[in-house]
Amino acid sequence: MAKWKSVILPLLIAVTMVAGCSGNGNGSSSQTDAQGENGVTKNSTGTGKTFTALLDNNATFPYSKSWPVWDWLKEKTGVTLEVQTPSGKLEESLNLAIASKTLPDLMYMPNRKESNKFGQQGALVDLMEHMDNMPNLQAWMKQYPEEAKAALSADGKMYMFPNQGFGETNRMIWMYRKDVFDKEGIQVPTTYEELHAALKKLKEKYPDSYPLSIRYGQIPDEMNANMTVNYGTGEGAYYDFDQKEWRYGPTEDNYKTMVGMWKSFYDEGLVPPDFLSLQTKQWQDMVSTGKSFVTIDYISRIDFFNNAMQPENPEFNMQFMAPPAGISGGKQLNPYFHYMEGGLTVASTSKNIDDVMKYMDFFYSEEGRTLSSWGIEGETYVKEGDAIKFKPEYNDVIEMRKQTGLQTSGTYTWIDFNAHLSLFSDALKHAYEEAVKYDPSAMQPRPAFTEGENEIISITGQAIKKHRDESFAKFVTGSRSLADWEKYVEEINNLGVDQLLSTYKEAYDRVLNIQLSAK
Amino acid sequence: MKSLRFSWFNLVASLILLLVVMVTLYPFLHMLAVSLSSNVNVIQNNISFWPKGFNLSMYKLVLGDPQIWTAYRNTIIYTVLGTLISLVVTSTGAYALSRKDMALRNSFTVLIVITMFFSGGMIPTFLVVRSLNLVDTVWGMVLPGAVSTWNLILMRTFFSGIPKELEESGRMDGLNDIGIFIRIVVPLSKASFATIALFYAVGMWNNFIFPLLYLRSPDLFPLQVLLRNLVLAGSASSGDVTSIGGDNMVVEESLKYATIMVSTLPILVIYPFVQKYFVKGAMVGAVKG
Amino acid sequence: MADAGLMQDKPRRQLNHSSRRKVRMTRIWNKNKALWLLFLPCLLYYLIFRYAPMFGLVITFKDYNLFKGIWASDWVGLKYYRMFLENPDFWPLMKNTFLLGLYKLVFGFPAPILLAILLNEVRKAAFKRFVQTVSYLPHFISNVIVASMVIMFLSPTGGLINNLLAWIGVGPINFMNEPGLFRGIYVLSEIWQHIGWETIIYLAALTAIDPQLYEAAEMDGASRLRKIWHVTLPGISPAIVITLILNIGKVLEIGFEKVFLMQNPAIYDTADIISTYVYRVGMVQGNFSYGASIDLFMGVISLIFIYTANLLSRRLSETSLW
Repeated sequence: MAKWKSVILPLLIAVTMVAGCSGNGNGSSSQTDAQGENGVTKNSTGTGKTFTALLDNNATFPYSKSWPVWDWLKEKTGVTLEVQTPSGKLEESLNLAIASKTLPDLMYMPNRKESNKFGQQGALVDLMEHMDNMPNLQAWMKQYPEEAKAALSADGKMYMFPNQGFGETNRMIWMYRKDVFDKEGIQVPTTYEELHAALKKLKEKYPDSYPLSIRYGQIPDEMNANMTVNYGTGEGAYYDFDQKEWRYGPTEDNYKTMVGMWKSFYDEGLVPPDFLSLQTKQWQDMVSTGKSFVTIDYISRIDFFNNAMQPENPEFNMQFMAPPAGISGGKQLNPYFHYMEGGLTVASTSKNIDDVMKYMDFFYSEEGRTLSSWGIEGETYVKEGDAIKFKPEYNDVIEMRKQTGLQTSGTYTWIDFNAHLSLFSDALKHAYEEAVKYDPSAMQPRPAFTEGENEIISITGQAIKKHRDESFAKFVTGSRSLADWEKYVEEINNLGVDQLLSTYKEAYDRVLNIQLSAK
Repeated sequence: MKSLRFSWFNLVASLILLLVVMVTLYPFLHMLAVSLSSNVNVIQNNISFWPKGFNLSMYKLVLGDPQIWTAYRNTIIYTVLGTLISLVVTSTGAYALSRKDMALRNSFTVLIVITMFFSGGMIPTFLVVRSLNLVDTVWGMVLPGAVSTWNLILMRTFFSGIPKELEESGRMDGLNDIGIFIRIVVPLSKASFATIALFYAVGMWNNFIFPLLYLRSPDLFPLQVLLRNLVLAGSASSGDVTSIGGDNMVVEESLKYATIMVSTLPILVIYPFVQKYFVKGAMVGAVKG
Repeated sequence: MADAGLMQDKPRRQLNHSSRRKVRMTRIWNKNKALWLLFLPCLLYYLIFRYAPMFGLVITFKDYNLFKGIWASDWVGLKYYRMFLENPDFWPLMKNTFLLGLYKLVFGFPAPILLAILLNEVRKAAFKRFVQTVSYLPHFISNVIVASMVIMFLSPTGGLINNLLAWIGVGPINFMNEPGLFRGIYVLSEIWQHIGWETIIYLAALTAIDPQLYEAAEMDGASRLRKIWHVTLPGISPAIVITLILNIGKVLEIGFEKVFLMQNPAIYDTADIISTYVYRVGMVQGNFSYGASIDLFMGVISLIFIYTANLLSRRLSETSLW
């Protein structure tokens, strides 16, 4: 109808243009800062500086302006942070801040993928260009070259501040009910064969139980990593340090053996029949009601279960168990999870880049490390000879973080993990000491990918991953016979495994060639 | 009072309704019970519909959060204001669209229906709202959702059920369309206004997308933001994990359910007020009378 | 005036097209201006908050760089559409999405109508109000919790359903492992969650039915069921038809969250739909353009669905969307 064209269309176009033009702000100066306050730099009395920061907010220790840690940092560096926390997910807030070009000076990002993406889009500062301003960080990078390299993007730039130490909490280990094993006279297994025998014996004694259970449904990728590393292979593309090449785990013979073993667990009722969709709550139920005796999970679960169950059942004793070896003669290994992917980044539009660099450099000094880990001597910790101990009012890690603000988002990069260890129970301390013995020789490389490589990984990689997951489920539950293995290998290879491997190889070779020297 | 005759129909209907009640009420009672139970019992999962180890610790946790009363206040403001604005804009628009003799009626309807399937996306919408300086204001919460196409069309359907004789009698009294709307149609449409008001109110009450996009200052945050953060911390599903592993406090089921209670009960209280409009033949008397 | 008589004799030819047009338009304006005025706030809303942001659709043709902004991002044409359509998983995903939506429509659409009618027949007001209120409680439970409830209920190791089945001697069924059961489980959980809430519209529509029609039917000796068939259903048929058309348009729009939480690799065959696939890919890639292109593509298909539904409805009944 001609009428609506002459009335509505111009109106539409007009509104669209207006919104389009102003919406893509050319640094629209008429906008007040989305943070609700204007101005980016405020000189508080004297030499103090203030930076704006977008930090993550963990509901267990929600952000508090009055945390002592902010005062301590101000004392040592003169800097106050004006903190913004996300009103939903951190990623969304980051997207919006960047799209609207009102970026706070500092932004916490949850992983390198995000920081590399935004960095390459031009939103973040390349820290390598400011190394002159950061002598502590330079020295630190010589001490921890691997961690530093992990923070690099595909084009050799560093968009996120590297970290070390806090990753320890992310360890995953095998755990077992020592009290039940002792009672039944079962030895701690060191291989999967022994594990199999132990589980069978437990099932005989406790027919209603499912002796081994893992929350596969909740965190399948982590579980896959554990299972495959036990068998000396990988859950996807992985780097074999001995052979010095990239291989694809799910088509290897070791992987097949692993699948066979889990299938027998499933067939014999040693794992719950719905373990593939087992969620956290169900798994928690099973472990705490004595329906399961062996599990794999984050190391902190030792205290989690012991603390919850021991008041009612003093016998309950969850202890570290060394990872069983899958292949006879193979190594007993846990996957390398003790790293942290998140960190702070600096906005390229910030007006305070130099000052921010100086501020962040503090965290890489010994003084910074001690402050971020322990707090202030006399206030939060005391020195007893060579050892440092928290004062007694801080009796567990969560309370400590809640009250002081230590180890919350944006308050640390380099951590002395002894600070946490000192507050752990004996069982957990023991677990940490033992866990180190079963670490792989090196961290699996996580090279940064270019956009083209990312596309391959997301499309081809996803198709391969989906097939792998589906097939694993079908083999273990028996809907597909293991006799079909060769066919499965062919199918999955046809989806582009070679292409995937060469992508990883290229990215990794690029990383190997990068120098860490300042420009 | 009608004499109670036995009828198969009544029996079957009652049984079905009883089944509906059981199936919908039990989970809710279960959640209520869990939210009032002690940790040990929750972990062992031995609660059915009565609390074990009765304690209010989860409620203390949720209601003890210093921000919660601000959040409640904010939510109430957004809900009341938002519902009012939405009702005005939606009802006027729906009425106009319901008049078959309005020119361009079909074109407008098509334009509106199209928006159900295509949207610029989160970021462009954000940019538009920002260019209107609505970010971090009450209006930023209340205006971008002023009209829901679904509700608009439903209301249009309700209005088109109003007999033409009423419109004509209005015209004979010298009223124009606006007058007819205000004086005749609105008083007769209590049920539809109540229904649509309920939909908008609940939508605004539960909304967490708008605060995510348009709010920055914590003292403007509504209830849902607070509660969602409480529940999502430690949940590794939906890819919400910002730091993996041991650093995530496992959130007790009891806490999750307590937050549901805290956020749902106020809305449940409103419903009885709305229900009284759902009386049979509420509208019909006008034509004869 | 002296010329008055002259003007009377002006030949009609001289009232040319433009002034006839003007007269016509003025008449239309006068007739409609009150209605248009009523419609104005609504129109403004749509223009500002729905149409203005649509410039964003252009990112489906661009490699969206958040920092540079939409206009400055590189143009890539149909790259993302091609990536989607050439994906070997495309057809299985479309099939799953469509079937899931279809099942939901076929079983989920009539459910609230039936419940509303049943409620309408209840004589005791207190019981009716009680059932109403209780039935919509699940609507307020978030998808995250509903999904985990469903998984727990159906667990073969102590879930309620399997416990009941054990009573009657049926072996534990691993529900969430069977691809063939997923659609049924999903649809049932949707009905449970939303049936009460969705009756509200129909209950409101039921209030508009003239009680005298019921009396007339009673006098004709109609039974309960007949009354429902001849009075109740026709009375709310506009609401039913419109809601049906709208739902047909939304068949492909399955909420991602619940399916994602309820799926696991054993049932990808039926449980993996377009939105969950996009989510997993997006996690790796972090690129908006791909997801947006898929949304646009699905939007076009849904528009075709609703257009067809509307057309059929116009031919077959008096009610239609437009």
